[in-house]
Amino acid sequence: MSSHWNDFSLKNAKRQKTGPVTFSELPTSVVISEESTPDILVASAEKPEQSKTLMVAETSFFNQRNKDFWHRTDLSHLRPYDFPYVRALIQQKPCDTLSPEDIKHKDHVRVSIQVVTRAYEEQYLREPVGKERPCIMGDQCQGMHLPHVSENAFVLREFLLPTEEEEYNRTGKLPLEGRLCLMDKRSEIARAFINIRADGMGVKNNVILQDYRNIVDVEGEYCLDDCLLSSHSVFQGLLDPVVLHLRNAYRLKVVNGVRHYDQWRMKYPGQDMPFLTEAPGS
Amino acid sequence: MAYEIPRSGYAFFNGGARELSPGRICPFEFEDGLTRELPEQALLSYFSGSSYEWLFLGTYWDRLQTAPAWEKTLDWSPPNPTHNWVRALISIVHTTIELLSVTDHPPNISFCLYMYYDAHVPIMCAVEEAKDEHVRQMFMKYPPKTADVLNEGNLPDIVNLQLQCSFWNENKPKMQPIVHLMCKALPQRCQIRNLREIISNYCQTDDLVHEFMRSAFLCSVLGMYKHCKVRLGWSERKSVLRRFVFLKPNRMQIQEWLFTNYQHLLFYIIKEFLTFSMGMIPALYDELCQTYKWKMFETTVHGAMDNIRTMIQSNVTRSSSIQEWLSQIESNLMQVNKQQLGNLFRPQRQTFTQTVVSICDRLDEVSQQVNPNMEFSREYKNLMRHMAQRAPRGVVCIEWLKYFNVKQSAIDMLVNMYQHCKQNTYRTDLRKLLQNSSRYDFEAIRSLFSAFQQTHHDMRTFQLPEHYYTQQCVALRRRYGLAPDAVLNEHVGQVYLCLSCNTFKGFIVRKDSKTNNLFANGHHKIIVDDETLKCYCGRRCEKSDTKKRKRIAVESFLDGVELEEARKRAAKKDWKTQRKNMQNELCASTESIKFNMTGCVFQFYGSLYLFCPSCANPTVFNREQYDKHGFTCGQCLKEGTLYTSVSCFICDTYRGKDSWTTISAQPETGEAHSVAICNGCNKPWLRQYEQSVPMHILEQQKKKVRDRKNPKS
Repeated sequence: MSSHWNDFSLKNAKRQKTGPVTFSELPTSVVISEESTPDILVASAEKPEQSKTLMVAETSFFNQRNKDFWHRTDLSHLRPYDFPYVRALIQQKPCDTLSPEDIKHKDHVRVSIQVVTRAYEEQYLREPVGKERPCIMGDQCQGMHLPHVSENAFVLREFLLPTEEEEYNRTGKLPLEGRLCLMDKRSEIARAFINIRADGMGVKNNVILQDYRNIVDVEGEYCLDDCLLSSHSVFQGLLDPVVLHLRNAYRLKVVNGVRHYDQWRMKYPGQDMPFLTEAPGS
Repeated sequence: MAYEIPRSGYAFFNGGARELSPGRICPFEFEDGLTRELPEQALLSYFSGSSYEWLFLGTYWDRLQTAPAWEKTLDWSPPNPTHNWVRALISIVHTTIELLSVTDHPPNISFCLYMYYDAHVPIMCAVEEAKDEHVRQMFMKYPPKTADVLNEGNLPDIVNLQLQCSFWNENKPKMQPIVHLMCKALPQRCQIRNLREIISNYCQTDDLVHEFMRSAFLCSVLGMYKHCKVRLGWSERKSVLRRFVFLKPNRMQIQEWLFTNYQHLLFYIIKEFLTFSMGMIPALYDELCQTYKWKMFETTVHGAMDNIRTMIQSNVTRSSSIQEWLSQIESNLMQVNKQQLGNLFRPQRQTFTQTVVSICDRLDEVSQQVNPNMEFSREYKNLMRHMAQRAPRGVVCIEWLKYFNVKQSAIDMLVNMYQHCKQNTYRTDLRKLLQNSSRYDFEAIRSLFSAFQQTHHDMRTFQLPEHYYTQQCVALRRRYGLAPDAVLNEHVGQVYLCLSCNTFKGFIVRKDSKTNNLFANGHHKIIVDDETLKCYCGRRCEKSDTKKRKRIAVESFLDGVELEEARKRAAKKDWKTQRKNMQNELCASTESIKFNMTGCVFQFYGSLYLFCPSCANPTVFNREQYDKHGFTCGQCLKEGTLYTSVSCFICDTYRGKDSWTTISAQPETGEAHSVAICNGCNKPWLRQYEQSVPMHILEQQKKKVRDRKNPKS
């Protein structure tokens, strides 16, 4: 009859004979072959349980590493998820432009593109006067390289965006860094655009090439045919029209002793009416 | 005299409107009448103070009076030298010829001298042919005008069309004829094929091409580009100008003489034009210098054309027929052309990735494989897509295939081909590799390249600039019926797309579409799982053969090769049908990708999708849809008013574009104003009103319609 282990009385305290003890756990001298030795010994069962997938993956991976050198390239039994490289890759964030599902709309600071009218631009197609600065390109300014203007070619004044001009008018301070003139700005935008086209891949990152845009099809503005715009199939960084710089599009004129370039080739919208021309004497 | 370029002058009605009058690249006389420095002005300032000054001083009429008599030997002797004006002309012409023979003038002065001489050729020809009594009239009819002389600045202005050429690796199926012609003359491979037929056809059917080719031909032959080192002599110029300009050959004659033969000459004439005109777009020119060896191209073309001018010079001296003038030129240019083969740009219309995918598809078609993914699981395919989204753009990570248990030898071969694809041909090797791969490897390779093509090229998102985003938000609030200051919830602006059939699931509104989706909401062809509420693509491909054909047992009438062909065709048709069924199943079991398109432009298989900034319907980016209102879908606005906000005055329904008209309504007091009436309510009795319709009549009709709709109210 069994009793509780805590029930103890002096009366019953008598030495009793116990049964014979066998030491079954003692080491025995058995010859163990190399094959039966486990690779990894489990130290304790209290270790936090791993996911089955991970366990299989890691075991397979390490087993693979423990194989003979000439067998290591055989990965047929592994799933791609089991490779640490692949796991590491899919844990990192995807690229913004490559993953529509992961776009975050609110975090982005969006590009501001200022509207520039033709009349505003034409103020900048002249040589600098007074405090105004010349184009930062200096002698390389496009104004100096027009094929049909040889002797009187000049460096244009730097082109300020409407906000910059407003700031200049308010404070009298020009931007710290010199700016390109209008022709060079047009040319550089076109250069980037054409380079992207030649590359054949569209813009590389979240790039918009322009910081200003022209108005088209409005009286006194430009025609769309004279402007650059992204292709309909690949985004090339231009969502709004910007006039394309052509060397033959300008002619020289002098107004009040100041040299100007006139955009003779950029037609006004609605100008193409071949059956009507100017009335006599107009 | 305008011997080359007809100008209408100042007339209210332009009689020459039906004629082609393209702009000129950089004329001396602009359309508004202003001129830039004319050749005689440049010559006057150069020869000022010399014994030749009189030649450029004053007007032509002044010179006819003041020209000193020519006392040296006569090179050109017209039949009536006794006339005072003819004597003066002889003096002018001979002095000019004397100046032309001096070779050390600055290039610009030499160029101006040739223009000055050319301006006198029509009067020279006229005087040669005129009788004594008509000489005076001839001088009146053909006054020399340097502004109209054919030279590089007076060629048709097709400079901005140059940007439409396919310079690099672009595929442009639709081109204007003139653009196509310029493309043919680019230093690329295999361009001269069929050129003769192409030029001949275009010159017959397209006015601009004819005008361009004629002008460019004369400009090249006479050497009227500034870069020309060889120009025809005075006598030969006169012969050429007499034949092609003064005698005014008609279009058929020019076609017969020039545009049905001389393929190489015309080829080089267009090339010479391009070497001149590309410089007008500095951005394009610089890129061409980098990618095309353009400088070398220029040197070769200029050298070849100078050589040709030398040949024409000697041919014209010897003979009077056009055929003789142009003899041996073709063989000469053919030799030059052959020597340039190594320097030609090699456009690759398909990238390596596209090539792999297309060859795989082709192999599946040949083997009539119905299921494209037999062994490679869809799970792995998705994994590849997710991995590709994390890889930097520009390079395909072919070595990833090892993680998908593709044979290492195949991976090595692919890597090697990919690294050298720009230098070597690889298509045959690639085809062999794919043919010999196991089905699993084949599908894995295709899946990897498809994933990169899809993620890095066909499917991308870009942030729109601020003004687009702001307008879109306003339009989306209006479309979803939200208050102007309401927060845009997640569902506003959400769209779906299917990555199995690669379709965008919004109702697209575009300018040229026949269907009007202006009022459509929701998603196009989407299936919703009732239990999980997941969305799947509901697109169903139709059978390939929709035509009703008679069911005849064709095989019983055929035998031999024809029977074989018929069986092949039938088998292919069956395969296509099965493939489409399989595609339908794939679509139905592929969960559609959901994302929010607000504030971004989404590039997806050759189209750029975005919300229209004025009506917030999904549309595609296209320059045709850009107008005075900025970019719109092209359907939602008229005169700045949203169609979606216009309802019929009588029945109060919103209908959209082209389904309503405006009529003038006259209230009892005040001025008449226009109201919108839908086509259903625009009855004949309403159209009979010649003047404004009284407002109370419209109100009555409105009440009648309302009563009919709700009889109880």
